[in-house]
Amino acid sequence: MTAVETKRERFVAVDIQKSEDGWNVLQAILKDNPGAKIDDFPGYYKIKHPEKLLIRRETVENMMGRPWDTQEFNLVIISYAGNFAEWDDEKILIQWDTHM
Amino acid sequence: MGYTYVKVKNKGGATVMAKKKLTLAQKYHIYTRGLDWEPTYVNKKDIYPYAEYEGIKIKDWNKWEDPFRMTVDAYWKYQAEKDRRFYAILDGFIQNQGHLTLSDARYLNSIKLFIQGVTPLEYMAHRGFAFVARHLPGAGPRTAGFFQSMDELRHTQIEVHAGSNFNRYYDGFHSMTHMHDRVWYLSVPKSYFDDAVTAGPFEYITAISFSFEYALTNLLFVPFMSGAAYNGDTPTMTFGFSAQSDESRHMTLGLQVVKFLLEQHEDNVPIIQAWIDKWWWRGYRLTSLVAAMMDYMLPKRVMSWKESFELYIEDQILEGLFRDLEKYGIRPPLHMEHSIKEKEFLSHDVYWILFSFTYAAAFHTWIPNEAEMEWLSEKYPRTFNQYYRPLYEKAREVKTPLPGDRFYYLSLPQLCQVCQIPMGFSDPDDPRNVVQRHVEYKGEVYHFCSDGCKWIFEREPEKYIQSWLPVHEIYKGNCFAEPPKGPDDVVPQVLRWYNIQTDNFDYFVSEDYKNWKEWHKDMATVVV
Repeated sequence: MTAVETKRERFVAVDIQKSEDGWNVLQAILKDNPGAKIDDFPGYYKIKHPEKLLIRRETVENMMGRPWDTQEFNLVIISYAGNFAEWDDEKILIQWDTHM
Repeated sequence: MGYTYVKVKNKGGATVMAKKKLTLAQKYHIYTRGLDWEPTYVNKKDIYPYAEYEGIKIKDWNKWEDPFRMTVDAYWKYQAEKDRRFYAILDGFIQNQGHLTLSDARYLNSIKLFIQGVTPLEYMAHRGFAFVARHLPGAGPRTAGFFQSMDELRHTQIEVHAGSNFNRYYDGFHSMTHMHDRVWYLSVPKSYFDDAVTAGPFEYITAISFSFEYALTNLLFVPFMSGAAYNGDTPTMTFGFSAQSDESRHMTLGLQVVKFLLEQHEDNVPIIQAWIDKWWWRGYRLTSLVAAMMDYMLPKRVMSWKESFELYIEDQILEGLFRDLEKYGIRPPLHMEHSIKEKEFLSHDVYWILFSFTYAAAFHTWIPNEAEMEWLSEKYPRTFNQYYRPLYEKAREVKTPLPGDRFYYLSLPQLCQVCQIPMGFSDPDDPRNVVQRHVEYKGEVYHFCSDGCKWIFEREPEKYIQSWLPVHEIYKGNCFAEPPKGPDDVVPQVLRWYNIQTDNFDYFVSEDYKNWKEWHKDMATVVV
């Protein structure tokens, strides 16, 4: 029998388009989520964190220099891993339900 | 919409009504619940006739929450913006003769497979979610189903528009819907979705929203689209990411629907588990086409199938999602372990199948060049040189009477009764053997590529004995443009019925290659 290689890691993640708005959102996420790590792929960034990712309207607005509605997140997100635990006018929070 | 009126004191101390902006949560609640009503003169069961026969029990539809809190005004606004961005990029690409700046014309064979195989599924998903939007008794999931139905139609449109630009110059883009209904390898995606839309609404939504959208679409729309970007195909990257940004909403719907159903009644748990088991394997077999596209058809590669499987399935789905579902009594899909074992074989087996039968396909294949073989052996150190490199070395030596100066498999393959892929999957525990399973049912023998497909058949044999298997249909005489004049005329009459023109055979004898060389004759970028 062939042994199966596996090295699993538990994290939440969001995949963000490489665009100007995407870059600003990325910077805001890095500011609000110490410990977040970025993987750089052609066309997109993957931002990972072992526990949770918080996207705050105010931080994004400071990066962009203009008002930003949290629903505009729909324009930069490609995909995610986790659960949208909260999504309101001020913030978006991605985490798994079960913490370990 | 978007405002409410609240009581406030004015300067004189009198109570007056003032306009106040609604929060996102309030807006969503008014939209989804406020526009619903209880029927008075019609029985609810008559309005939603499919809500109960699958055995799913719902106590309170109002427990449903959509984390995206999408309302119709926001939906139009952001979807319009996504479309504006896509069409600006597509126009720029066309005006700039962008197709000439691709890494290599070989790349487009993966996009042909996408347009022929996936785009018609987007349209089927549009229909499936229209059904969900009509037939689920809860207003919240009906709303989400309605948005998704429109999303899927949008995906069909942007993919067709992106592909039509290539259709002017390249083989394989001209008859996607015609081919989708007829051609052998396209019965793989077609039968998958036909299976889903002929299930009840709860099974459909578990199959597509949860198993496919949450677990599997990432493999198609993220690393593969990143590959499109890397090979210079900005329209495909843009429709891919634009579609996948909708998929984020669809993933949320999938996760939400499964958790909601699990929370509503304990009797739902074994039903959902069986659907997860079935649809994991159905979807995983379907994405094996993506495995071949990623590892063999992208001239410039971002990551291997194995790497993207580890990231998007093993980490995100197994380590992430299924840990979360444990508390509901849900375990990882039944045949998941076999998918993990197959990760070092899957793309190689499937590309070899596509390569062997390219004389009857609407895309071109080729023997990987030395640099590509090196990449493959580096990414698959335990399998590529051992089991697959020798196949291509032999394929180079073998001559057949067909164009291309290389091996083709000159007969028709046995198809799996469930996934409909030719039965060519290696046994990871005994890699020199191909897995073959069979079941006898009502006096007939049915063949399967795997234990997963066999298990699916045994649960619902009456469904799968009806499969329209392209090879069987050829032998039954149902796939000829005109009756063949002799044995040598059989395949040509099938190809005419498929409307395959100059779309088949090896890349290096194709019109695509001839044109590409002509267009780049002053440059040094042509693969020879």
